[in-house]
Amino acid sequence: MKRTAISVGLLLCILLLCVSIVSFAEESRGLPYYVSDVAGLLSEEERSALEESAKRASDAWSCGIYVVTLDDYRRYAEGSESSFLRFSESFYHQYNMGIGSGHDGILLIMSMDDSDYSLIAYGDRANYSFTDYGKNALEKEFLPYLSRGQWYNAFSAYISGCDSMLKRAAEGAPVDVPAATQAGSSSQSGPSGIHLLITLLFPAGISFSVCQGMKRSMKQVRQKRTAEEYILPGGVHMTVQQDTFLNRTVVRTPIPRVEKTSGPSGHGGTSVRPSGFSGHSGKF
Amino acid sequence: MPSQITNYQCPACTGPLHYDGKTGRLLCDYCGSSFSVEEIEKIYHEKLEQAAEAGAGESVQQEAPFAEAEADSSQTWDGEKEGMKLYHCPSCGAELLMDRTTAASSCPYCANPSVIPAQFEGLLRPDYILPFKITKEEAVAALSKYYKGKPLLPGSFSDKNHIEEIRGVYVPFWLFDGTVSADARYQATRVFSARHGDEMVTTTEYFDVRRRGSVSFKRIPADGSRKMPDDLMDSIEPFDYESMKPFSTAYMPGYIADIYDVDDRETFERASTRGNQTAEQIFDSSVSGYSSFTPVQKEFHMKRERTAYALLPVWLLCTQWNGERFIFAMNGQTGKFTGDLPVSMKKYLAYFAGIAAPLAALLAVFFFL
Repeated sequence: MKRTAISVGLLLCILLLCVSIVSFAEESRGLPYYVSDVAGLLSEEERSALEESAKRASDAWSCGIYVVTLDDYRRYAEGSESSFLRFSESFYHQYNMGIGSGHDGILLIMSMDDSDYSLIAYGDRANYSFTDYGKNALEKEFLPYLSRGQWYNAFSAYISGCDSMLKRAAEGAPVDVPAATQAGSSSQSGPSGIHLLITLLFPAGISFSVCQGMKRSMKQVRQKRTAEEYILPGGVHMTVQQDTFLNRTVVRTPIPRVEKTSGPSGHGGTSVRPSGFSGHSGKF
Repeated sequence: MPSQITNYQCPACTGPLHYDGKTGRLLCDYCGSSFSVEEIEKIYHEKLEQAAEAGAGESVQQEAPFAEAEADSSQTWDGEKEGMKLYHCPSCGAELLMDRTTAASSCPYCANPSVIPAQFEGLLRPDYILPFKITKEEAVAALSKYYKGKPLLPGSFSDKNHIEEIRGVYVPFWLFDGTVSADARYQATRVFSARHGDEMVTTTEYFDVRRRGSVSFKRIPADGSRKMPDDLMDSIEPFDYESMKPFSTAYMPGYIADIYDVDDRETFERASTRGNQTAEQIFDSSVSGYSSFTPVQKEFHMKRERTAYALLPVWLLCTQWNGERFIFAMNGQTGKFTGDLPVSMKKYLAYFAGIAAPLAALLAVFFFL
C-alpha cells in the first residue's frame, strides 16, 4: 500500500513537472513559426522557404523577423484594441514574439478583409535597426507586391530587406535619413522644391544687394545730419548720469517635452511610442 | 552805394594778377612776377590813401597800379530789378552784367580778373577766407579719377563727356560756435533667461535712466548761398580751418566769389539741427548694458555763442550728358571730390546676371547633382 502510494505520488510529480515544462515551453516560444499564414495566402513550399530565410536572418542578428496573415483581425482581438495598430502591438505581446530578454523583433501583420497591414518593431535593438526612414524604405520594397497580390514576392522582399537592415545596424550604420537631407527637409519629396527656390532666390538676393551697393556708390551727394567732427576737444560734459532700478518681473514658461527617439535628434532616428513600439499601420 | 570793380594789376608791368593756390602768391600772367598777398595789400592801401588825399578817384585810375572803374550811379537799368547789377570793366571798358551776389569774377571780353570790393563792405565783410590750394588742372584730373572704380557708369559718359564749365568759387559760409544743452530720460530693461527644471524662467528688470549735460561745437559750417545746393556743399566737408586767413580780397583774383544771400539766422537752423542730432547720438550711446531702452523724454537745444562769416574755396565742374546736367564739387583746400553719376541699366543688368548665374549654377550642382 505504502509502495503504491509512493508510486502514485511520484507519478503525480512527474505529471506536474511535464505540465509545467510544456506550459513554460509554450509561454517562451509563443508562435511556432516566423511566417504564420493563417489567411492561407501561400503554398506550403512558399511558406517553408520564407520560414527558412526568416529564421536564418533572425538567428543571425538576434532579432525576430515575423510575418502573420489573418482573415479578419477582429476575431483575435480582445475588444480593447481600438485600431489595427493597437491590435498588432497586443498581438506581439500576446504571442510572446521577439528574441532575447528585450523581445527584439519586427512584425509585418496583415488583415485581409480590410486590406490592413502593420509594420511594427519592438525592443532597443529592433528600434535602433529599423528607423522611421528605414521602415518607409522597407515598405517601398514590399507594398507594390502586396497591392498586386504577389504575396510570396512581397514577404520575400520584406525578409531580405530586414536582413540587410539588421546587417547595416550591426555595422553601426542603420539605414537612416541621408546626411544631406537630414539638415534640410523632413521628407523625400519636399526638398527639390525648396532647393529650387533656394537656387533661384538666394543668388538673386546676393546679386541684388551687390548691385544696389554699386548703384549707391554712384550717388554720393547727401545732406549731413550730424556734426561730430566739429565737437570741441573735451566738449562733451555729462553732469547727470543716473540709472535707477524700478522693479522686476519674473515669467515662468513650461518647456514642452520632446518625444523620445532612439536615434539622432532632428529628422533622423526612430520615433518610439510609450508602449515601446515603433512603426505604423496602413492599407495595401 | 557806388559799385566799383578792382583789377589787381602787376606793379611791374600792369598786367593782370591772379592768386595761385600752389604758391600762395599773386602771379602776373604777362611778366611772370610774383607777389605775396601782404605786398599787394600794402601797395593797394597806399594807393587808396593817395587817392583819398588827392580827393579825386579819376587820378587814381590813371596812376594806380590797379584801375578802379566806377559804374555810372545815375545809370539805371531794368536788369537791376531782376537781381542783376551793371559794372564797367576797368581794363577794357566793357559793360558787365553780374548777379547781385557776385563779388569777384572775370571780364568775358578781356579775361581780366575783377573784384568788387564794395560787395564786402560793412556787415557783408567776411571774417575769414580760406585760400585755394588745389589748382584748376588738379580739379580736372580729379574728375577723371572720380570716374574710375564706378562699374555702373555708362561708357559714353566718361568717353564722350566734356567739361562744360569749371569755376573756382569762394562760397560764403556761416561758421557757428555753440553748445547743446541736453536733458534726456529713458526707460531701460535688462532681461535674463535661465532654465530651472522643466521651466524657462525669464526675469525682466526695469530701470529709469537719466542723462543731463552739454556738448560744445566749434565752427559748424552752413553755406549762405541759395545758388549752392546744401547737400553738395555738405558732401565736401570738412575744411581745415587752421589754414584760414583774415579776409582779404587779394586772395580772389582768378576766382569767382559770391556774398551771402541766406542770413545767419536762417542757416543756424541747419547747423543747430546737426548739433542737436549729434548730441542725441552721444547721449543715447551712453545708455549701455541694457537689453533695450526707450526714450521717455528728450530735450536738446543748441545755443549760439559765436558766428563767423567766411569764404571757403570750392571747385565747381559742370558736364552735360544725354541732355542732363551734372554738377561736381571739389573742396578747393583738401581735394575731396563729390557728385552724382548716372547709372547704366544695361551694365546693372549685366552685373546682376553675372553674379547671380554662377551662384545659381553652383547651388544647382550642390543640390541636384
